Amino acid sequence: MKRRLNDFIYIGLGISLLVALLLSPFASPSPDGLEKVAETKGFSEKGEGWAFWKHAPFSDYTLPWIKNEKVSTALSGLIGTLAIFFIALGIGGMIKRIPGKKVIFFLFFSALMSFPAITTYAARPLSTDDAGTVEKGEFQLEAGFDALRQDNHDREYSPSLTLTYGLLDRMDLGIGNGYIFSRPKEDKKENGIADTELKLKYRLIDEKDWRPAFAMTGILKLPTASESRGLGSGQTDFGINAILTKNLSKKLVLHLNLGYTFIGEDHVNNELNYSMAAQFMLTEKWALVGEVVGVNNLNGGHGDNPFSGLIGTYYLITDKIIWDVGLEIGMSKAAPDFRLTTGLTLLFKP
Amino acid sequence: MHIPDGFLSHGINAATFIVSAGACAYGVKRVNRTFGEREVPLMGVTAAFIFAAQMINFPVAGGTSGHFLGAVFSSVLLGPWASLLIMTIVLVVQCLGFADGGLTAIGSNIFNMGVIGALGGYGIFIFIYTLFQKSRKGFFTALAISSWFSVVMGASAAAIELAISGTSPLKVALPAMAGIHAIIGIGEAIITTAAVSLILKTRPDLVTTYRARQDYSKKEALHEKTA
Repeated sequence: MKRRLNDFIYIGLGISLLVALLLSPFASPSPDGLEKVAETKGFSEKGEGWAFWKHAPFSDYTLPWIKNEKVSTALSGLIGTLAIFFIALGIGGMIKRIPGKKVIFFLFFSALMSFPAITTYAARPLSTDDAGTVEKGEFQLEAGFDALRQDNHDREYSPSLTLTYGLLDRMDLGIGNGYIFSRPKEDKKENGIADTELKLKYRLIDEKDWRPAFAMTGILKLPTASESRGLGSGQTDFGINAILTKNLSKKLVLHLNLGYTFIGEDHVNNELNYSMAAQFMLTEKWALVGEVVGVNNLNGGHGDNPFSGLIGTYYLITDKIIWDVGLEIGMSKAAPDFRLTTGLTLLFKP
Repeated sequence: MHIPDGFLSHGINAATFIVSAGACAYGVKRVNRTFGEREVPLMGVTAAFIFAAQMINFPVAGGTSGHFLGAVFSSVLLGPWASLLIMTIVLVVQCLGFADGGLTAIGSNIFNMGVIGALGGYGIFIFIYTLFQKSRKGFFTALAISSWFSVVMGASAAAIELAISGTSPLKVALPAMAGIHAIIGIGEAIITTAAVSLILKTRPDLVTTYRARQDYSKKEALHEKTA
């Protein structure tokens, strides 16, 4: 069986290589559908004279050092076909063997790094915290709406509000709560108030030259959600989080978080939280964000550690109003299948 | 159909990039769950074939050429999510290695040819295939129609992106793009049907969606027996 599959692969690859080698030199040189439309409708000059990526080794399917056009095209096709075969084989193997999360991690950051992003205003839609604090005497109100689905198709919808106040130049205090609409696939529907979160952030080091900004937060989770209805644990948790923020360029900002949470609930391990996020400014008002977030619940088992990636964007409607949206995709069984989040951040001074 | 740099606005590029990246991330998750030992080399050879076949431009009316897309072809072989990833790999290599399609437009190109072409094309394929009650004739009818649609829908999506970007008004770009690709799509339908029927003759077990049909008829037979 294995042998026969191999045969098919060799034959298939052989056919592909022959197609690239023998047919490509005789392909029609006429413009393709899009090029033709661009020509006749007069917008082809928009694509000329400017290319973001200028380092393609086989630009327009030619080998620069071979003069004969047909040979040049045929060989570039041969190289491309073989390269694609091994790249797809490698990525396919990675996806199959390694847990999905590592592949996502790799693809995700290579994608983010490959993109050409200013100062950071909003934390939303990221769950990774940044080292910035709300300006002294100013308020920040974040309103969000989350819709998530677990792997077993349990759904949950929750609007939330967080109010943060700048206490000092480098310190702010926030309080947040939400309302949960729990829609399990089989159990009873439940609605109710979520747990309340109090967060104190202090920035110890400002960013300077090569040195990233560094801040610490203390987070207290108060059990305001109903335990009997399964909306919360009914216990108080306390967490500390260390945050590094570094502007790599005018457009690209990286955030790193490492935290530890003391879980109040009996027989539940404390958690190690880690996350990494990147913000990339597309224009002065528009940013692309992405992060990977993980929790290790320190019980040695890998199966129940949530790990997920989020990709999203935010847009500065004005300097004081920011709209955001993000999609989180779970890479492990314990993480939600996906979560869609959108929200508004308002900055105001009383 | 590969959009170069400069045709689309940054807003469109960012929006399609997010959608495409999200779809790919979800695709990785799905493929991680379903891929076995045999699918990985198949993915390699399918991607290689699509790349090689995309180089072969065939002439169509009025000094224009078209080439194979392969989105429905790979969907039918390996499922829509693996197909999306294959299209993404091919498009990224074409962009970085061969300057075919712009890097800033990579999200749009993956959206048009992967999300619309592979996922959308596969949706149409399954819809028609089910409509024909998963018969052999229905399989090829669905294959031909959905591969034609994958090209025309991908081209229409490109036209809409061009219009939103302000490059060309919709009433100019959409008929032009959909019109020329309606002809190119016939080539797509012929190549897809020919290639899949060849594989079906030699190795029917490698066509995932056709296997599903066999499982289906087996289940049906079993159902009739028990009833």
